[in-house]
Order: sequence, then C-alpha cells, then structure tokens
Amino acid sequence: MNEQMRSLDKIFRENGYITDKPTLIALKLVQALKKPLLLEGPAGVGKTEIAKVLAKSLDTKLIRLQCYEGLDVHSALYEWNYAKQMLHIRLTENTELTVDERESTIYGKDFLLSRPLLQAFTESEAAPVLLIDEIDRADEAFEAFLLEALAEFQITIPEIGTIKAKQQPYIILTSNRTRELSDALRRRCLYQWVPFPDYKKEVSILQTRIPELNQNLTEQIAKFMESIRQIPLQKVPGVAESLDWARALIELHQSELNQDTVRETLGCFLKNHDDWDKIEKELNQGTLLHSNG
Amino acid sequence: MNQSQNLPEYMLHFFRYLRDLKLLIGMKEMADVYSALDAIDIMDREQFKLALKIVLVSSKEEEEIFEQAFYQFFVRDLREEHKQDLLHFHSDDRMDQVLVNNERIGENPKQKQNKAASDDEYPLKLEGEEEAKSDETPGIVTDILPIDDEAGVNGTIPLWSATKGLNKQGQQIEAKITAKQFSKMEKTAKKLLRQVNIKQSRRSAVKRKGNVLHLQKTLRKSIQTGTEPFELVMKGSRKQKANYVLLCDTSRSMSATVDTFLQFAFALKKLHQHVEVFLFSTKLTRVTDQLSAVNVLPQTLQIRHEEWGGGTCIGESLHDFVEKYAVKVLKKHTVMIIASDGLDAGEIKHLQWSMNEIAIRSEAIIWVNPLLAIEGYAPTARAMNISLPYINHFLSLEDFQCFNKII
Repeated sequence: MNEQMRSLDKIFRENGYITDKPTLIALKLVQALKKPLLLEGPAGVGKTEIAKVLAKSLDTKLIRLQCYEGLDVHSALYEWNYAKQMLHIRLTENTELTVDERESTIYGKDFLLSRPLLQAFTESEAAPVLLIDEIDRADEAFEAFLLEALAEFQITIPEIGTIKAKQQPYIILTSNRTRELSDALRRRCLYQWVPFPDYKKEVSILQTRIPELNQNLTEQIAKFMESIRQIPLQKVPGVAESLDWARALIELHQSELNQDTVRETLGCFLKNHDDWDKIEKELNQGTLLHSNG
Repeated sequence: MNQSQNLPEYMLHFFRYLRDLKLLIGMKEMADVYSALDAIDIMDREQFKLALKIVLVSSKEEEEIFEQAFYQFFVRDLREEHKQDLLHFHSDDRMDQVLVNNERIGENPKQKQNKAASDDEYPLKLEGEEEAKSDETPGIVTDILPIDDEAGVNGTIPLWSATKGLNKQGQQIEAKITAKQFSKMEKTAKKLLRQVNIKQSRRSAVKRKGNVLHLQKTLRKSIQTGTEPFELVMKGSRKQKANYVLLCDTSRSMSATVDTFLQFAFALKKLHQHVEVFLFSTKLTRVTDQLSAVNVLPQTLQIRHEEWGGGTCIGESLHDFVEKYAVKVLKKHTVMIIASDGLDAGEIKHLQWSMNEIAIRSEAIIWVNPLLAIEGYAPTARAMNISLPYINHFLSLEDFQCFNKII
C-alpha cells in the first residue's frame, strides 16, 4: 500500500470507517481517472458512508442526491423560479423591452433554482463529492438522463445551454440492486461490489465505532452476525444493525451474549416478523448460539 | 517484474481474452486500465488485480468471471497459448478454444441467456428445418409430429404442439393443441392484458388531459402571447403497462396443465412484447426465445427431456430464478404468473426467501394451481403453505382460463 492510500486509510479509520484494500484502490482510481464509482451491494454495508467519509477525507463538500421513483430533472438538476419569473414579467409589462429581451431575462441564472446536480457542477472552490444514492430506485429515464453528466461532466439546460463542471466532482453512485442498471451507466463508472463484512472486519468496525464494547462481546456479536447472515432472511442485518445492537447491549449492561439476551434484543437487528420467527426457532433449537460458541 | 517491459502487449492479450468471455471491453476501458496502472504500484500483484477489476468489471456476475480469467491468464500464464491463437483468431480451432474456455470459466449471464436459446434449449423449429438438427441430438425426440389427421378431418388443425422428450421411465409424451384451443387462449391472454391494472409511477410528463399545471411549459408558451397564459399546458402520469413473467412447473403431476399453460404463454408472447417464460421441474430453463422464434404455424416445441415428467424442486427452482434472472426480468410493474400444484420433492429452505424477493420486486404474483378445482383441496403442501402469504391471486386452472377472479 503506498503512502497516499495509507493516509486515506488512516483518515477513514479516524472517521470511524474501516475500509479495505479494494475500496481504497477504487477511491484512488476515482481520483486518478476522474471517473464515477458505482458501489453495489446489499443494504446496510456502508456504501453511503464511503462517500461521506471520502468528502471528509478530501475536506470538501458532500452533495447528496437521494433517488426515488419518479425523480425527475427538476428535482435533481434545476427548476425555474416560476413565481419570480411571473413577477418579473408583470413588472416589466409597461417597459419598452421586447418579448425576446424579456424572455432572455427570465431564463437567466437569477431565476434558476439549483438542485443537487447543478450545485455539484457549479461548485467553484473545490471539487465536491456528489453522492447519487440508491440510483436503482430512480426510473430508467432518469438513469439515461445521468449519462451525459457521468461521461462528460457536463449538463444541458435547454434554456441556457451546456454547463461544464467547474471542478469535476467525485461522483459516487450507490445501488442496492433492486433492479438491474443499464450497461450504458455501468460502462461510465468504475465498479465495486461491497459485500457484508467478514468476521475480522466486523470486529474492527465494532471496536472502532464503539470502543467501550468489551472484546468478548464484540467477538460474540460479530460471530453471531456472521452466522445469521448464512440464514436466508428477508432483511439480512447489515453493519448498521450490528452497531445498533451493540449499543443496545451496552445500555442494557450486558457483557456477553446468551439466549435470553439475544431474544430480548432481537428487534435491534431484525426488521421483519418472519425473520424474527425464524431466528427464534433457531435459538430454541440451540443451533445459533451453539455454533456461535 | 520483467513482463512490465511488454505490459501493453501483455494487456492487449488479456483484453482479448476477456472479450472472448463476453466482457464489454472497448477502447475507453483499455485506456482507463493504462491510466489506472499509472496510478497504482503495479509491482504489487493485489493492487494490479484490483485496479484491473475495478475498471474492467461492471457487475457482480462479471466479477466472478474476471477472478477466474485473471487466474487463468496471469497465474496459469495462458499468454503464450493465447498469442498463438491470435494468429488463427477466426479459425474453427480458435472458436472451439473459446467455447472450451467459456465452459471452463463461465459465461457472461447476458450471453448465457442468449446462448440458452440456441444451444441448451431446443428452439421451436419449422417442420422442414427440424429433421436435420434433431437427429444429431441424442435423447431428444426426433420425429416431427404429423398434423393431426383426425383433427384435420374435423376441421381443427393443430396450430402447434408440444413434443416432450423421453422421461426417466422412457415414455414419450405428446401434447397437441387445436386451433380452437389456441383461439381460446388468445382470448384469455387478451383479457388478462385488458384487465390487469398496475400501480402507476409518480413520474409525470406533458399530457393533454393531465390534471397538474406544467408551469415551465405554460410560462414558456405565455411569452409568445405577451405573457398572458392563454394556453395552459398540463401534465400527468403516463400509463404504464405491466410486464409478465411466467413460470410453469413441468413435473409429472402437472402434465395435464403444462400444455394449457404453454399455449397461454405462447398466446401472451404473441400479443405482448415484454413476456418472459420459464419452465421448471428439477431445474429451471428459460424458454422465452423458443416461443419468440415461432412465426409460422404449425410448429413443434421440443424441450429437453429432463424438464418433463420428473419430480419438482420448487424451492430450488425459484431460488435459481431469483439468483439468475430476478434483477433482469422482475421490475416494479411485473406481474408474475406461476403454474404449479405446489407438490415439492426437493429442498425448500430457500423458498420463503425466494417468494419474498419475487413479491418485493414485482407488482403481483398470480399462482395457478390445478388442484384448486378439486373439491376439498386445501393448500397444505409445505411449498404451497410457505408461498401463500406472498400470492396476490390464487387461481384454479378454470379461473385462470377465464380470469373471473382477477380484477
């Protein structure tokens, strides 16, 4: 690992994010190649957090675009300030301005409301980190709209023209893979699959994020989580759930895991009734904590 | 690393090797790789591999292909072999080699789907075309089904028929579908397409009869009329049509239903562009391309023999479906139709997870169970029991044919 990556790793650790070599290389390539990075993986593995910590490590602004079904260009890129435009039209009604002049005025930057994408592309001080979160939730049409931004670092507003990014933003896209993204979008991005952490990494995460957690409990939680992720659950608990659970156990003054403790705190990491039943059954059979040691 | 002196050449061979494995490697990707290698320590093998992977791979499936390809190319050093092959790139030997490599390493899932239609499955063929090819395929019925004479006399010429290969007991099962039956199924498919109303997207666009004012366009138009908005531009959501995914159980216990369901799938496929059809018993097979290939009737459908008349592994088949195809074929506006009696002989530990995944990813699940028409039947079979909470419409075959329960 070279110096730059070591320092990136250190900053990530200082910000409570335990990273690994693939992620570090991916982030380094984002900076070197100036290409967007697509992070895919199950929910709760820390994809969004990577962008947040990257912004901190680069000491730059994080601009977040949360995707959802129906998201369109007016919510993501720009919107005209219609009220202001109307008012301006009325105020200039009796002036000698021609229609063309009035039109060019109201479609100027003074009347433009910037949304996250435009903000990221017009940031002049330092290249921001643009997080396009859960892109798989957006419609395919919006995904197609993003192509120009991802490939050329420019966006087009029909009334104004093409706006080239002043500082090429570091673009991080995340996807929970609820639907397949297009090849066109994938080809414009570097790609990184973010899996659930293994036992060792989860122990490190718990130790870093919750230093007051004792070693024994840390290892037990990590081992337990590793076991239940092998079970086909509907909502597989991620790292966020491990952390919530660990904090809950501290609040309850528990220093080790046993069947009763797990049963009482199932709600910290299971968010589905069927999963609850399944894990309770495993607990009753003694398979989970037994294999857990 | 001595090879670094020839790195560009070395990498070119690797790019070609990956292309053989159907990874999309264009000039841009190649240029990106060289930039990436500049940014890392190429003496560090792990960094070298990770950099290549991050640039060249664009999905989880491709990651697995890449891992094995990297091992084959850089660890086992197939470079020399590949170099020689390049001299005869278009020769038959070369193509054989590619095929062998694909088989060994695994194929890009996109290509797999296409290939399945041409190789793994036996596409519907025109009668004239069939004889030559089918003779080459052991274990597959080679006879062409004659037009049903009896039906011909009665004026009901079979439009197409399904030929099933030899099952484990060595029996040959044939199913013929008459014009009348086909017409009925076409009506059923039309009815389904008409009746299914899915949840509409919130995305809006200009629409003459929309119910929301499109401020931007209205204002823009008003400029031309002295800023007086004489013409209001409205917007509203566009009506989205459903996609359909059909899964049919082809086990022995479903033999009486399979023909009807396939006929329906065929009719639906003819009427609607976005229909995917899969068959399963002990394993899952995508037959969409076989159905799409039928243009001229009558036709003969040939399906691998192990798909027919065996046991059922619903859990494993649905799990397989979710793992391999769900991301690609299940959309928010997909209606999933499963035809099965729910009598499962395999492992069902993944069934609940699979049904849940299907339910989350699709608009609705319709389950057609022929046993439902039998008086006193209760869906207590373990697979049926697990699946029931996720099903939106539970229909018997008769209900299915007239859709009197779907609103």
